[in-house]
Amino acid sequence: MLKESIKNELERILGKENVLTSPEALKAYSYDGTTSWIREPDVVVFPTTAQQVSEIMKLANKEKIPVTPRGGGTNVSGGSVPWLGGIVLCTTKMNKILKIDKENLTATVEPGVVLQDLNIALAKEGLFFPPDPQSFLGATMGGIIAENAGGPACVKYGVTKQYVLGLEVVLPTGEIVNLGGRTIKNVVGYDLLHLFISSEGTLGVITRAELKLNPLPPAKKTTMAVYADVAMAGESVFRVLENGVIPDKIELLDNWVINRIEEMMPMGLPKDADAVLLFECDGIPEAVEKETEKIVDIVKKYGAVDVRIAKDMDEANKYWLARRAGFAAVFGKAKTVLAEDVTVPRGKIPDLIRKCKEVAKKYNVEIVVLGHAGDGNLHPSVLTDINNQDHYNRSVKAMDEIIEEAVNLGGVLSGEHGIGLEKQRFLKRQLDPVVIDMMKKIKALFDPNNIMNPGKIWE
Amino acid sequence: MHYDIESFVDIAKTFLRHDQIITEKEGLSHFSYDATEIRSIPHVVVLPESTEEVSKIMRCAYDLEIPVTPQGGRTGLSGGAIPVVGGIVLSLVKMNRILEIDTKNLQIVVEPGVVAADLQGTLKGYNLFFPPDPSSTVESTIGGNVAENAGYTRAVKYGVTRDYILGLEAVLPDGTIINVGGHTVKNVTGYDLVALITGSEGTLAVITKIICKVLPMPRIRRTCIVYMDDLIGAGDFVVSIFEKGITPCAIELMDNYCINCVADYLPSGEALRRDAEVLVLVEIDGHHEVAIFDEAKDIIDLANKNRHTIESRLAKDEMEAEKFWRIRRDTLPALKAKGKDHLEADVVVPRYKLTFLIQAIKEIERSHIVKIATFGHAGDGNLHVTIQYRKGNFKETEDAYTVLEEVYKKTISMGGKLTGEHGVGITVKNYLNLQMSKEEIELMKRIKMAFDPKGLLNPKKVFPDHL
Ligand SMILES: Cc1cc2nc3c(=O)[nH]c(=O)nc-3n(C[C@H](O)[C@H](O)[C@H](O)COP(=O)(O)OP(=O)(O)OC[C@H]3O[C@@H](n4cnc5c(N)ncnc54)[C@H](O)[C@@H]3O)c2cc1C
Ligand SMILES: Cc1cc2nc3c(=O)[nH]c(=O)nc-3n(C[C@H](O)[C@H](O)[C@H](O)COP(=O)(O)OP(=O)(O)OC[C@H]3O[C@@H](n4cnc5c(N)ncnc54)[C@H](O)[C@@H]3O)c2cc1C
Repeated sequence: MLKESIKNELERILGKENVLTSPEALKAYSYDGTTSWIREPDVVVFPTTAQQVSEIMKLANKEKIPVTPRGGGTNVSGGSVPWLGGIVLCTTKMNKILKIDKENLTATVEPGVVLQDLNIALAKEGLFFPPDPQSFLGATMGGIIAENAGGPACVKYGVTKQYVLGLEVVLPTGEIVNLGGRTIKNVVGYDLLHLFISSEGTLGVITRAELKLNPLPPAKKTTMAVYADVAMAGESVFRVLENGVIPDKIELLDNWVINRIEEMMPMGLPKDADAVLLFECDGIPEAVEKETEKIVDIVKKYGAVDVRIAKDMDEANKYWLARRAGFAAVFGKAKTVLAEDVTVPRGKIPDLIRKCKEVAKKYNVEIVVLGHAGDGNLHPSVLTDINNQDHYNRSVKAMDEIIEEAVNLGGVLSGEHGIGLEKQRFLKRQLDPVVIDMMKKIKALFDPNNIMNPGKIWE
Repeated sequence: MHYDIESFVDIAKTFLRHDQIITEKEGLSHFSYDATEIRSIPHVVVLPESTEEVSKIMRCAYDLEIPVTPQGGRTGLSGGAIPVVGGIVLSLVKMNRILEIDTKNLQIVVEPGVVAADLQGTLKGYNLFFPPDPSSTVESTIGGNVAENAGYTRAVKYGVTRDYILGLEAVLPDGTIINVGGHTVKNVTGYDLVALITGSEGTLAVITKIICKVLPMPRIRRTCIVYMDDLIGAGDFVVSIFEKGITPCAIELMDNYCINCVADYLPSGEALRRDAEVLVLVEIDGHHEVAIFDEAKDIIDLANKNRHTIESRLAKDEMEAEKFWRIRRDTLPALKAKGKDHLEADVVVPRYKLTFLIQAIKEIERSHIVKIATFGHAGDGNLHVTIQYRKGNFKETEDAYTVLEEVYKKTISMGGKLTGEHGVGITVKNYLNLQMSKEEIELMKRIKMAFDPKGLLNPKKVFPDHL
């Protein structure tokens, strides 16, 4: 329960309209993109300046009240669920694009700016922010940075951390610090900037970001390759890259996803295919043509039974819409979804997919595979129902085996979604106890009272 | 400070061979310097050949409380590898094996002592390359490059060293071996300790194994040279290239003084345009001939459209491209040939501010007696400033340091940073306050304490002497 005096103090800092305590509000901020983690906060606040965030943090630190930063609440690891109650600090009112600097290819944004809004503004200047989490309609830059989000285009462009030049952050103790800067290179002292990126809101609140941008590529082309065996699709992925072709996207959809897409929006995807790969090449027109030709040659050589090149932007957009709908379909079709985010070295994709199939049979559960095949980041998802104890238990076991296999294959348990609450029990399988200890020590240095998004990352 | 070197050597002898321990004077002096002119003799040098040996050395030093300075190729330009307080030098040069080249996943695993050029040579055989390749490639080690988060001319397109490091094995000051990161391009399992150790200049942990991303070697490259009569005009030219949607793999820039020094220095110097205010070298690379040729044509067109262009040329073949590069690469030796002492800065500003910074530095030069040369990576805003003076001359020396501080202050006022690729080490540490808030330095200090509670690993680096 929130003390009346604290509520008053928050209202003094932020104004009444920016402090919510109604039951509906608390409920609305009790969950995120996951389906199984729910916990209500005591209060939800909407600061508009770093100064206000600083005052909130000072108050919370003094009173030892947990604070959970939240952007769009779209993450799928439980990161923005206020696990120990307290304050949810929502950044959606800090949503100004402060500057787009064409000459230096940079932008300065507040944390609550939604990725889609940013990219629309950037497109007018012929620019874009390359990392493209598929939740771009709702995900905020603060959340994207805090998760070091990825997306299909990361095959070629890399992940979010490569596009963050500087951050203004408010520490749990209330100090406002500037990390990094506005330059592409910077080796002044320790890289605190990258420590903050992907820290899942556990080290401080991001209140401003300096982003690196790219010019929009003048041409794009989408190719779909159809496979009778999903593992062969996995092989095609690294064969293409090995041959010096680096498409900006390589996405994989399995038979289950293909059929759900066809149900929702019939577009002539081959329903009997075991898997399809979607490739997109971007760049200057000549290079895009050449790369597409090369992809067609290579996938045919490595087992694609059919290859289609999108004839225009409309057709290409349809494929990509289908890809996004595919992920949404997974969540729509089952009560509970155990969506994984394992990442393996690219060459190991066929092994991982084979394992998924084997495990599905062994535990008699349905496992859907889709994901960013180009960088080895797959989202095998087990469809289950938390209320069906037996089925759920089997699903959890299946998931455990898949994660175990991914780690054995030299992979990691999370490529882009983060640990949050969802993956905590697996952390020890991947990291040495000393390394976890070191992370905890760092956490304690920044947050001596453990008020910043407590209960996350480690158990 | 007195250290119990004798006990250390006795213990070290139980797990190292004789030739892995150096204690005699001549031997030690070899490990007392790097590419700066600073010197300091260590008490003992050890040359481990495995992670276990590194771990034992660290544990022993930890128990005896003797400082340890990690060393790679000793090409550092900020003094990071110099054992300023004596003690142990831990040289990684014998851990120089390439452990794995994985063409399927485009990644490699190497020991820290692998020399950058050797790695590139080996990768070439697989049609691969490791993009972060500083100009010191023939001597610098991968471990040193990671510890410095080194930059290189191609950073504008390919990013810095950090962008290629997927995982590290490292030894903590108490001898504990840790593995951070892994074999995947994406990884968000907990805090990014890989990024923290990368660029920490050997002050947090000793790097003993490195998992790196590599890329297929681009098949084609084209190189253009453009002489211009105006600095800001050159900056506009650079911007126009990006606006066209072209990301060159290198854009290098030299001022009039550098051009003239190289013209004096090179036997073929007469080919250089001594009258030009600035020289811009642009290189593009890729896999598709037609595409690259088109881009090269675009760049030359952009140059010719710029009213400040005096002359622009596209290298007709690899040999001519090499000639162009020679001008840039010989800049430092050509400046050195002037026989003066050098004070160097490695400042970095947002890309478009670079030529404005050069202009401001020329302005500073006017009210001082020392000579200033500027050249650098126009593609990423990283400028090397060389201040020429004579150490014997008190007035010039004093002036040189005044100028250095003015350059730093100007850089910061333009939103820039004190060092873009060479690191803080010894040479920049006492300027850190100009840039960082007390809070940030305090955070760094706490991190240092968490890794190295006894303060034994590479002491007296990075942090200012007085806070
Ligand atoms: C349909 C769908 C598709 C998705 N596709 C992808 C994908 O392709 N790639 C991918 O990487 N992810 C994907 N995600 C996951 C998710 O969208 C990302 O994790 C996203 O980055 C979260 O942004 P958000 O604004 O919603 O943050 P939230 O969910 O609100 O928060 C995420 C984390 O960041 C912290 N946080 C938020 N704002 C701040 C701040 N200002 N300062 C400090 N910490 C902060 C929170 O505490 C929390 O730990 C997908 C999710 C869905 C539902
Ligand atoms: C001619 C010349 C050209 C140069 N060009 C460039 C350039 O283009 N770009 C650029 O960025 N730099 C450049 N440099 C600077 C220098 O080459 C780089 O800083 C290089 O990365 C240093 O590597 P090294 O192996 O020589 O390291 P050293 O000088 O031996 O050490 C550098 C630092 O790294 C630490 N260290 C070394 N190995 C390890 C390890 N295994 N574990 C932990 N810490 C370690 C040391 O303690 C020290 O702090 C140049 C230098 C010269 C002389």
